[in-house]
Amino acid sequence: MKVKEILKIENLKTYFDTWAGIVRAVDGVSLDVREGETLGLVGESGSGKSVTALSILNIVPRPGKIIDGKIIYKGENLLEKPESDLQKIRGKEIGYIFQDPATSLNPVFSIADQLTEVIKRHQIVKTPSFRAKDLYKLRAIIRRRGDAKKEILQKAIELFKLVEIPDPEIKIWSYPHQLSGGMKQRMAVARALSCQPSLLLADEPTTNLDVTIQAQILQLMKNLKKKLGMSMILITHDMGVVAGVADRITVLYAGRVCETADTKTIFYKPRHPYTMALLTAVPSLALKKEKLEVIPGTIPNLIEPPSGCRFHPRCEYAKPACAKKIPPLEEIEPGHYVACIRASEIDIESPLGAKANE
Amino acid sequence: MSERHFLDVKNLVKHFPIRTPGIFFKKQVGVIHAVDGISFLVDKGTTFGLVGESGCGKTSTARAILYLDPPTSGKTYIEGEDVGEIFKSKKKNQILKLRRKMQYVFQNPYASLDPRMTVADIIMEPLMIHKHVPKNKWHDKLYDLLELVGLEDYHAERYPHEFSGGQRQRICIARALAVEPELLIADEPVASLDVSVRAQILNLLQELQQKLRITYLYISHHDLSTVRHICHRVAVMYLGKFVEIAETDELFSSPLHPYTQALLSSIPIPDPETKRSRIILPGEVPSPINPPAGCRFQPRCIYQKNHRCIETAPELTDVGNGHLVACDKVHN
Repeated sequence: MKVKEILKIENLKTYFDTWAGIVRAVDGVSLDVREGETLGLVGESGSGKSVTALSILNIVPRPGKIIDGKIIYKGENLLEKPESDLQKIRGKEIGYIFQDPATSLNPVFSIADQLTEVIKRHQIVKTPSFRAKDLYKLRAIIRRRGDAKKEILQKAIELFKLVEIPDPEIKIWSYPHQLSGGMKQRMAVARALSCQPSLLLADEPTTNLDVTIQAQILQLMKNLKKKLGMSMILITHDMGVVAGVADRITVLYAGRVCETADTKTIFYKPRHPYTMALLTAVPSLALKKEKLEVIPGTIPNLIEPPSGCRFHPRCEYAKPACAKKIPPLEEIEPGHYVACIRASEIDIESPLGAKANE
Repeated sequence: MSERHFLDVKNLVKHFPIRTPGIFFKKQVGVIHAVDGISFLVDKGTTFGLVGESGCGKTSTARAILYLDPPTSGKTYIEGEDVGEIFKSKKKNQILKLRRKMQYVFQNPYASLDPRMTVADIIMEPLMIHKHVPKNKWHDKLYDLLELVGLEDYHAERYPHEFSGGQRQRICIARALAVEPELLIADEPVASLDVSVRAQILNLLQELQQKLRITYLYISHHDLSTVRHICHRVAVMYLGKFVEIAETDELFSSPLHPYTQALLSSIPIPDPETKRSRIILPGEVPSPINPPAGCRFQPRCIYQKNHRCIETAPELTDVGNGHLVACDKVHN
């Protein structure tokens, strides 16, 4: 049986044309999200995680531009669709939780305004409109519009209940500055879920939150996903978060995919040296190490990225051949894709794998 | 206590008044209990971790210790010297001498460097003020410091905007180390950095401690695994008070206070196989303007409450091995 894919990205290229040169932020990313699963998108800052997500909805800020590639959502290429069709998809079919709730909410509108905007825009509740010929029914229309308004507000309050905000009837009239970080994040989750999307893009939904609030939000998203049966792309740099939430993981480095596999394979049998490096650089609660492993150097400048494999200047397994050829993303085991020409030669042992064998 | 501790904080309190807006009459309408009576001791050459959620008073504590914001009450001793007395005496020489002992690495490396100064200016400014190095040695000192934190000589002529977050944090550390301090307060030095850079900075801090025997006060709210990695002793703070202090290993292996237990259980572990019973606390941290009566954690506590929890605030008590807990349930 073939697994159904809800979203498939093929060879996506998003470039930013700046005065200093062309920044190849996303340079040939291919990935897929299956129905009902959570895909973790992992990488350091500047690896192109957010730009990939923004490209899916074609809302990359200027001067960013999608140069090449296909984004196939439910069998249709979103990049060929006109803007008017995309507007129907944004928010309704694909929800987006933006990176920083403190800056993605408008400070001069109340939460109620911002939450109902999505519901109104996508006509989840029909609002009757005035027409000149209906002028004689004016009072009836005004009444019906009033009812619709109440219904929309009721819907917003229900959403607030869904994301477990206490006193939703009162809190909905507050402004963003009156809410704490955790509340704003819940509000962002509620807004993304308002039209029951079939795909949710969550861009670092818990990065700036305290650990106890982070645990609450992650649990909430997990429950809601189960309840509403949606697929999700979770963007994060925290390996701990993806370990608990994601079904499969795609590791990005400098705008390219390094490795895609299910969560267990990534953590216990990684084949790409970068995945390995990411795992060992994290201080762990379980294993107390004297000194942390360090990935030498810094993330490359994407205006003039290194030739061949982009990780080779920092890779301990690099050979001269790595600098010459761009490694293709190859399937080495069923469902396990690696972009490294030495994937089959080098023997990498996960720090977690070693622990499991003992 | 008979033995001399390097840093001794006694019953530190920091309250911020809330005033009504007005031009002539500003009435005080309330008070924010940022820090409410905390005491701790730190030995020389060790790292003391301060852990808690945002808004619980970690940074206020650090600033009150350094007298950047004078504390409302309470005393701080550094090697037996009363910090408050020295600052109140207004003797400039003594204050400078004391400032040299304690330095601060600020939270956000993007905001704590002057964009109009080159790295050389930034790092040499403390040398100009303290004059502990003769003028002809300033440049040698500058290059020594750059090397110490792993930057190159040519970086000295650059401006902060030319650096990445990790490099900026190194500049901040170099600036703090310029006066050869004995106490370094690191306020979330790795919070905004990537994993690989984070590992570099943490290793750097540890190396410096071994080389120069600096005492650290390490503040963090995100990253408890980092705290475990770097700290010798950890205090958990909740709403302006300590709920638990213990040696790092002891705290992480057998936390006693329900808040510490919840905090530790909610750290995501990068291992998909580990299944833990996650304690999810209901609600959020209450406002420090009107903290709850009795135990401050009581409204969110998952254990059955008794009347003592609601009426009296529990004291920090030793349960052995220098493990201090402030919870009624644990003692009985």
